[in-house]
Amino acid sequence: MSRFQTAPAVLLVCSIALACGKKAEQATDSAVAVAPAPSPSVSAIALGRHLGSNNVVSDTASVFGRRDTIYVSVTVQNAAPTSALTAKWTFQTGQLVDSTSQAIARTDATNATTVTEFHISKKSAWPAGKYKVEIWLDGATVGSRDFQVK
Amino acid sequence: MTNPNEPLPDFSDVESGSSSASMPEAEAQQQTYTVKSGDSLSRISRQVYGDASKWKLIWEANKDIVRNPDLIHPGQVLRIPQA
Repeated sequence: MSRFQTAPAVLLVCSIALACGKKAEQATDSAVAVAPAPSPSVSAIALGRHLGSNNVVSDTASVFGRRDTIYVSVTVQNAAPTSALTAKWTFQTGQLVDSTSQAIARTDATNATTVTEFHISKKSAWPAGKYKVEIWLDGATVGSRDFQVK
Repeated sequence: MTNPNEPLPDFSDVESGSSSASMPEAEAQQQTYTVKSGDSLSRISRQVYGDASKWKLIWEANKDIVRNPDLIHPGQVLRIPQA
């Protein structure tokens, strides 16, 4: 086939492509809309006295001594690169003990699981009583754990 | 019940910290819990998931070592699956 004979065929293909361009674009937009990125979720919150590897609490506990350092580890699935966690610790009176925020690490784009740890300690002994740690993910509360100091 | 006349405790000397790390998927599937005296699957579920009713998830992941869900022993290391 010569160059002159192929030209009409090329024009026809281009015309069809242009005519379908808008519909194709809409279809692409729709496809993006029905497949959103998985939303972040908290799969575990654990309280304890020690951390193991990867920030996970190694000895889950709900009763602590007055000189203990208290750890909470929060496992999050599908965290966005900008996601942040906040741990808000309160005493039984509602009095704020501490509030700390931490950006969630996402060092590996294919890795959907992250573990964030928060810990509190007190130079003088903890007052005995009931406490609560409330976990917030991107400004929304996602869970809490109650514990006691004896 | 708290006494309203009691002075509030002082938390000004509380020190806090935090860090975050990604977890390889294989390790994420392998979180464990060591059974302590007085534990039950529902109690562990409440501690780990915040929901005692999810105890069956833990049982399903440990049926090779926990045949009776009402019978776990201190020192047993249970796999904790993702909820």
